[in-house]
Amino acid sequence: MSLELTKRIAEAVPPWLDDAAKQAQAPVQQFFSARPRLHNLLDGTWLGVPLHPALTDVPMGAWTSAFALDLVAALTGSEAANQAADGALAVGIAGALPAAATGTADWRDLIGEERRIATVHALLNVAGLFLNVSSLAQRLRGNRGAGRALSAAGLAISGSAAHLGGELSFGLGVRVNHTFADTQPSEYVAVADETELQGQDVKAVTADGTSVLIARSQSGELCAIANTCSHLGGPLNEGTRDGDVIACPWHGSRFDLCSGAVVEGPAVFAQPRYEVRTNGGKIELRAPTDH
Amino acid sequence: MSLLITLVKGFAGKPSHAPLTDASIGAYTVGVAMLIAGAAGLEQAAMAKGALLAVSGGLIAAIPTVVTGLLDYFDLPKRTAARTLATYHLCVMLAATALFVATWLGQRQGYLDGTVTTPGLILGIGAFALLVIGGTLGGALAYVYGVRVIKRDVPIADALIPGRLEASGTRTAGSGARTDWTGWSVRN
Repeated sequence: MSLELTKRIAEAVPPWLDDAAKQAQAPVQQFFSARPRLHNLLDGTWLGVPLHPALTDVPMGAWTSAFALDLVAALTGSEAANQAADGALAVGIAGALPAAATGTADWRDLIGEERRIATVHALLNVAGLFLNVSSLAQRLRGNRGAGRALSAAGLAISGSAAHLGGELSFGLGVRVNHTFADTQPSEYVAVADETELQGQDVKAVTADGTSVLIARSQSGELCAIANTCSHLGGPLNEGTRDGDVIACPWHGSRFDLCSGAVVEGPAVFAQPRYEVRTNGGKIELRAPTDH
Repeated sequence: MSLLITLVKGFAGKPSHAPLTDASIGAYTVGVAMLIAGAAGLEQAAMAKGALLAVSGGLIAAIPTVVTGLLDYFDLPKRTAARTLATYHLCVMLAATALFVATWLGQRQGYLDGTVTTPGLILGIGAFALLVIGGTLGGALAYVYGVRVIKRDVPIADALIPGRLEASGTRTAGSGARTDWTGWSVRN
């Protein structure tokens, strides 16, 4: 229903705007690639969940509070509610800055429909922030009526932007763990001949309908993790191997080949790992028993 | 009745709980920020009043948030990792809500006196710490386990590559039913 509306919004984005967004992504990608500590912080890799959706609660909720307090103040004439509304507006503006920084980091890797929706989401949020800052300026000058009108308009625009953000997460699965629907066999299944995996090769195999990456560690241990990158679904077997670390070919997330742990973002979720053994010349996999 | 419950919970890919949490978390954040600012000596009289109003707003917004959260909770299959995590999320959030009620009670007199009370400040900071933990657990439900996220009939990896859908023949544009984890169908 409303996903359809969102798709229509995505389709209505003029090609020049999407081209401009694509052009703007390249320097942003370069900027963050050169600063792994900064992008791990903004992506949420250190936390294990995406950071942007958590931080957006602060401006959205604070501006909603400001609107509610404005209503209370308008109805009761309470000076306390007026001052609280101004404070809530200021908290929201302060909270919008980290939300914008993490949002920019999330936007840098999107393509297609996701990028078009995210670009509209970002532009609406910039407009909403501008209105809320203008509102605070009017309030500080004593123009309460103009201040209330500006922040109400700002909330409407930021709220629409937040709706699109929700569609990106819950409707399109942006930043949702891309391995969440993976199934793992509970009993050992054969996936390849031992001779098919030589030296430092990595190989994609299929177990229980799920693509799995198998490799030998440098110490010779057989290892297997999910082959679909948890970040945006890139095929890890097409990535580059450096020691016991594999880098996703799409956005450069790096994972430990044996534990699946994230070594560098933008991914925030570890790759599911498998137990591996050899049996009669075959490599066999199953879900880890300590799971 | 089931339509009413669906309206309350939100349609597939359109959960109600997640946006409602923005309202309560944001209002609580404003309240605690005002308690801290007032205690630090910044416009204490105004902050003391504003903090109580903001926490009141958070508690009011918490009511629909709890209702929609519980409805989603009981839809989760038992003995799954997602349900276990949801149980932790639920317990932490109930504790945070109880502490915000205590914060409200602790700051009640401060609202009348125009001061930030010590119990209000301490309870508010404690409640906020629980809120951050509970919120992170809730975010993990959505983003790690895909709770209330639409499951597609094509791998998202394929859906993201322009042209790959047509080439793979898994789905032609505009067809194919999708469901979210509760099994609700959604028209494409």
